[in-house]
Amino acid sequence: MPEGLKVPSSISPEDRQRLQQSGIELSMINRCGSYMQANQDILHATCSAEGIEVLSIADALKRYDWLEEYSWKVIPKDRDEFTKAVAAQENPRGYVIIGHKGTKNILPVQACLYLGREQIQYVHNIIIAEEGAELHIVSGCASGKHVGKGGAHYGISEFYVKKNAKISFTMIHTWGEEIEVYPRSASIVEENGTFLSNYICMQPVKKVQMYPTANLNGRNSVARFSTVIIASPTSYLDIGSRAILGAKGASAELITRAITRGGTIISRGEIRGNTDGTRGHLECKGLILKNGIIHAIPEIEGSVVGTELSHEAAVGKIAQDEIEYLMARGLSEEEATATIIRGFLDVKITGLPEVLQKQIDATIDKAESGF
Amino acid sequence: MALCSWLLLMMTGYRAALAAMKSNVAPYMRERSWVDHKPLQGARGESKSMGVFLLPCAAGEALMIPGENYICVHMLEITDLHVEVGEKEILHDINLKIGDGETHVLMGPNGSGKTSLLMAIMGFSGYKVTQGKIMYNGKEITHLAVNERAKAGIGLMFQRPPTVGGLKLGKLLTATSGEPKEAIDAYAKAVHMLTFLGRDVNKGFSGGEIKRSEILQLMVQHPDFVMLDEPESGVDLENISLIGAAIGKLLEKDLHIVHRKKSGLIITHTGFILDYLDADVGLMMCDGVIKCRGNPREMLKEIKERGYRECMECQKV
Ligand SMILES: Nc1ncnc2c1ncn2[C@@H]1O[C@H](COP(=O)(O)OP(=O)(O)O)[C@@H](O)[C@H]1O
Ligand SMILES: [Mg+2]
Repeated sequence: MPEGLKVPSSISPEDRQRLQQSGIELSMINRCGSYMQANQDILHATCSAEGIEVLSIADALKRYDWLEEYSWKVIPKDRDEFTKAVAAQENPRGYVIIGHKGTKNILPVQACLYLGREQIQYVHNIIIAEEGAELHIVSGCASGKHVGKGGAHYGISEFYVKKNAKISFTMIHTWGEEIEVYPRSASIVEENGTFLSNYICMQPVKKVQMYPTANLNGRNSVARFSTVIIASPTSYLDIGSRAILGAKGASAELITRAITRGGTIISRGEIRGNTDGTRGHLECKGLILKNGIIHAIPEIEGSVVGTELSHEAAVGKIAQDEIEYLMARGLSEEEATATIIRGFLDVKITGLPEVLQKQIDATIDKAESGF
Repeated sequence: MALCSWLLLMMTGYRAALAAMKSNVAPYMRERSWVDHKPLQGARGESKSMGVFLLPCAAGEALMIPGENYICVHMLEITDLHVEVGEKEILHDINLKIGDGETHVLMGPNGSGKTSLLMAIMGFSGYKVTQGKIMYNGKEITHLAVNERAKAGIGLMFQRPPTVGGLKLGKLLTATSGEPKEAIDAYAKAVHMLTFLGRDVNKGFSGGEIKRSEILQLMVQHPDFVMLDEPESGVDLENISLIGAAIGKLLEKDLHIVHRKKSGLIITHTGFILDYLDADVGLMMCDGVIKCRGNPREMLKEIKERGYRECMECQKV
């Protein structure tokens, strides 16, 4: 039985609930390791699984000289004002998770980033799956319910998926209505490597802006981005994902389900096929429940013979015939609507451990019951 | 007479009262409507005024009972119904009565309005009733919500149901049924759909699989009034007996007519389905009008031999 997370008493029961909702198991049941950062304080960085390390970035850089090779490499420090601000931190915060050669965790590592004050949280993370390793991570980000204006999160994440390795990274956001969030993340995937990135944001947030990139540099490497987002009336979500198919046999799938209840969603996607024998598919489906904006901007760019790229985007409302079909089976209009929305949001991601898929399903179930 | 029967009923009970009145009943009426039904609960059983009972009709014809003690109510009674689809009138002046335990088959050329009639009875918003009314068990349902009709016992097997992405068939069945998983699995097994419970509703289903999925949904729903829209079309010979048997069960064809309560309105082109249910009445629809009414097998034979034209001329409604 793992020891639970040391959560400061300043975090209210309500906020603990919000962490739970973001996929964080405070008891650490069903988790093999944890990183926890509240504001700029690192409270926890441990892992009980053999061959998997969870360290604060400061400790990790001290312990492993070679880590310099991975720091600010796939994301340059001067990329934008947010990367610059994080790079300028004198005491860098954030985590390093390393899956050493050939290791595998069935139970995910959890990374908890909690913002309890009106300040900016700066985070720099490095995640490495060494050759043949399989690493599953759930990253729960939440702010306190009563954090006012001015709260922000700048999070840099660099992923390295080595030969025959696999990383799944599931990020669940439960920020507040006044919070602005600027994740910056990119990955390099080597031969036969797999990178699965899942993003869920169903709670009100002021603004999220991100456009993570997967560089598929190795032969037969795979990237799959699955994004489930709901914009509340005051939310502005500018969210994309990008894959660069840089080696023969590389393939990418970028799937988004977006719902607006009055807010704005910009759903971007880009796949570049620069090598022959590559495949990519981009799919964005949007539902407008209340007048708001869903602006899908799918881009595919092929530059050689032998790359196959496609995209599919649709924005609409719930089909009346589907609602009435379910009503003909006895469901009320509200039940039918909720059932259809839940189905719309259903993302089954192959290659996830059961606990994580269950976590994703539970998170979506919970939000869906609010319709 | 009215008062006398009423008193008799009070004193000697329902059956005795019925027996006393039976001699006055028209010969074509079935026995069962007299001996089987107790004064009913709900709309049909309420006495409208002193001495008048609402009883379910069982025979195809309207049932008038001498002495005005009883008013017979069909499970479904449609009068003077006009329906618009997309601003255009598709159904004109439809009159239809279906009694307890009866099965009517609805035939007619493509585009004649058969599906529209079923959709209007189910209450779909695209099928606007502009005139007339639909009564179900003595209650008007013309403007009732679709799910209220379903709850009242009306079930529809769709000709072309929509796909509901992300909704598993098994989950839908659980959501609509109060029965435990084992019971649902047993129904699914009976129509060879067990392996489909984990699939999205109708997504990528073949024609025959859609029919089986629809039948399965109805089995779980246990409707009293069963509407089937071309249940056999697109179904291979092997599966047709499966579907036929399932439909027979839905309509309680295994029960003796005296005990049978479930009624049906079934659209068919082929008549295959007639081998599995002995239908009571055949209806022919042409251009949004019910033009003909008769013995279903004879009508079908005539259609097979002469096409629909013959029947279009038949005006024996
Ligand atoms: N949504 C619709 N908009 C316009 N016309 C329709 C619509 N649905 C059906 N119709 C028309 O109504 C008529 C009856 O159709 P339907 O009830 O499906 O016939 P059937 O089931 O007898 O083949 C047809 O002419 C058909 O084209
Ligand atoms: Mg039809």
